[in-house]
Amino acid sequence: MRVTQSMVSRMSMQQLALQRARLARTQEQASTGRRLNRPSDDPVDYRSALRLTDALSQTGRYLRSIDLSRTRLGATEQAITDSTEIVSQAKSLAIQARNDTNGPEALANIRIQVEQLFGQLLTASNTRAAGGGYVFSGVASETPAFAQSGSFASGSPPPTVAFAGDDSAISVEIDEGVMIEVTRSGAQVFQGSVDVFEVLGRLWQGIDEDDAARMDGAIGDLDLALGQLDVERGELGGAGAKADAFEQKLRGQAQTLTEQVSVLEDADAYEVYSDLVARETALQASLQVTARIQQPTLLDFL
Amino acid sequence: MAGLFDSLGTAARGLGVVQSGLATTGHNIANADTEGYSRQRSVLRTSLPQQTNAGWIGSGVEQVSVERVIDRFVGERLIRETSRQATLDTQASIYRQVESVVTGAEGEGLSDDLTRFFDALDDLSNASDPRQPAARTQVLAAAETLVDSIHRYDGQLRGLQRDADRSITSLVSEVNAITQEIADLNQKIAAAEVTAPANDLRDQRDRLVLSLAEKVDVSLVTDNQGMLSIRISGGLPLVDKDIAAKLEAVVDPANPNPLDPTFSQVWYDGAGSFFDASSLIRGGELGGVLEARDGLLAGAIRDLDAFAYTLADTFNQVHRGGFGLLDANAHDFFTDLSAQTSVDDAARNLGLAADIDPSQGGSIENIAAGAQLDPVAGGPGAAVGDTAWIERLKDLRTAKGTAYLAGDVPGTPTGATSSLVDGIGKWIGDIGQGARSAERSLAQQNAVLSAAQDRRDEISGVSIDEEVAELVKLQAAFQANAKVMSTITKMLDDLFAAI
Repeated sequence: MRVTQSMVSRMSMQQLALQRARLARTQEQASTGRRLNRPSDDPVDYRSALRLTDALSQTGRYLRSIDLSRTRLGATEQAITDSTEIVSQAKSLAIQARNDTNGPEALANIRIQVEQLFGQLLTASNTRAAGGGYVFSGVASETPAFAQSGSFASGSPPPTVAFAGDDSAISVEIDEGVMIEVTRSGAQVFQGSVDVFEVLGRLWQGIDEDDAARMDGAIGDLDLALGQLDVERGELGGAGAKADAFEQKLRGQAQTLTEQVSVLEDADAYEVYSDLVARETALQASLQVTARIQQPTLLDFL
Repeated sequence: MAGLFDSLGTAARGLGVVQSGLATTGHNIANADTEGYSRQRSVLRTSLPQQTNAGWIGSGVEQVSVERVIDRFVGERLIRETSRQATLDTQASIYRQVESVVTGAEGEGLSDDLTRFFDALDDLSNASDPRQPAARTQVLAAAETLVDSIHRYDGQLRGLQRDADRSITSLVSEVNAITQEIADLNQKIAAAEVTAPANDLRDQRDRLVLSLAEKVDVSLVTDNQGMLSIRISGGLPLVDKDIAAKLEAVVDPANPNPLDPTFSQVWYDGAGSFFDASSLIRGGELGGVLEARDGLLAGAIRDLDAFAYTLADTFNQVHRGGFGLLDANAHDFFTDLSAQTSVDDAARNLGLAADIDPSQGGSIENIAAGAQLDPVAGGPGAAVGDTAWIERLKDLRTAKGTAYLAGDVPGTPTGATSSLVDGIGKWIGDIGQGARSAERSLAQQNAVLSAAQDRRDEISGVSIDEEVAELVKLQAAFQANAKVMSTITKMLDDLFAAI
């Protein structure tokens, strides 16, 4: 084979360009720490990384949903706990009122306390979530859940309370296709099988009229009301527990996804640095070889 | 018998041949680094012997010609591979640009914008009071960003397409300049070669043919006068002996390019005809640019259109099923593009629907977050706490539907079943795949071209070693011939002295 000057110089130039291109690529990987810097680096992995990154971001959103759902869950649970407390107090007042030793003044005193409890219960049933709407109004979150008509006046019937909200609970998605109810239907909590307001009203009327039979009936119904509130609180607790469980699961999932994305996207540091050294050496060798073979011709020896 | 004067003549001829050999070697050495130079060598032969009583007596050497050392087939292969390399190089460089456009900066790609849009919807569904303008404004802003970035991608790709179109005009005029020069050289060569091969003119022409091959795919025919005729791949004569045909970049109003009416076609003007030859030109830079403009770039733009249409259509269909706060009407979220004859141009035409966009007189309260009319008040729209429909909209992030393909008619998508994120992934992935294979083909072709160049240089390139050795040889030959001459001169002197 005839080897001519132009072949030698072109080959040297091509080799140098090739070495520099390889070095630049390795350098990019080393400095970005990423194996995938553009889709053509590995089109299939790039697509997978895109999908996994989206899944990761979605997992993050579900975790955020769980976090935010706790505001409403907490507000609702607190309202039901408060209501239970109020009903228990009403029950002890009722038992106190049934004690035959009460004089009329003592009875009037108890009656006024029941009136106050009635008001407290109405406030609890119209609880608003922090920065949000009425938790017992369903989707009609800007409408107070319960409205009182009439007022307490000795000798006349007690006031009534009507449900004015929407009879539904608010659901939040905490994982794909998994919903939890973060509020309860107000109608079911306060006016389900037992209408708590009506029972309190009845108790008030019993005390007002010193009607032992009415009071006894009210006391029995207060027990039922406590049961009803417990059931509803249990439901909320279940939703909270579900949220906790999914939070754990989603955190695990997020970690796995992060690892998978990293496997696809990130360069193996050890491999990249050893590549970098190898390519640098190769480039230096090319440069030295080029410098050496470019010089001699027959002229040097004549 | 041969006389002394005959021998003197033989020596003189020898000296002459050595001197012209020296000139050729000097020419070779001087041009060792000249691009496209083919080494030359003297062709010698024994001059006619004289008949004497004693038989035929030699009369030395004579030079027949100076010829180029070339291999025509190697030359043609080099031309072919140069053409192919130029096409692939052009395409790979356009692919690189397209790739960097569609990828975007880290965290700023189209898929990131889509993710942020769905995140904003998520915030709306998590807001404990969805009437608060903040959450709805955020959805609107994220949607605007998504639409803007689709517009930006569309604009950047169309910009690349326009750049490609402009380079067609300049490539065409370069081709015309080269073909004219080749035609002129054809004439000069035919005139010069009446006497002897015009080596340097031919080298010059070969170099021009090579640079023409970088622009278009050529095939060559040489006639017996040394004139070169060139046809481009479709068989159109570009240079016919001393006449050069012209190419012209024409915006044809009668037959506008369906992609953009201002795009140029390449028309052929020669041999008495004038017609659109765009589809005939395949190789070289011109072929590569045409292919990139009408294939790769147009394809990337139309795929983006298909994605934009799929996005608007699937989102609107679900959005229309929900209720805003103001009324019971179905509202679009993105502009309704279903009146288009095809999904093409959807990326450019995509926008937010007037109903939900305050800057077009709409209201963000028309964003359909609710699944039902207010159950307490009975209307006019959904209850403020109702965000059930957002869940349906959010599902579109991963829900799989039939995607539109480029050129589909609205209402009848023919693509694969995939989610919106997958749609973007496919768009970017396909371009990445194309860029990768373009890069690979280019690397392979570079190796092939380099082999062809090596082969040419192996045959036609100047080797300094060889030339220097030749120089030494010629020097010795000169000395020897001069010795013969001085010997004869001495003998003649002796002879004259005897008189």
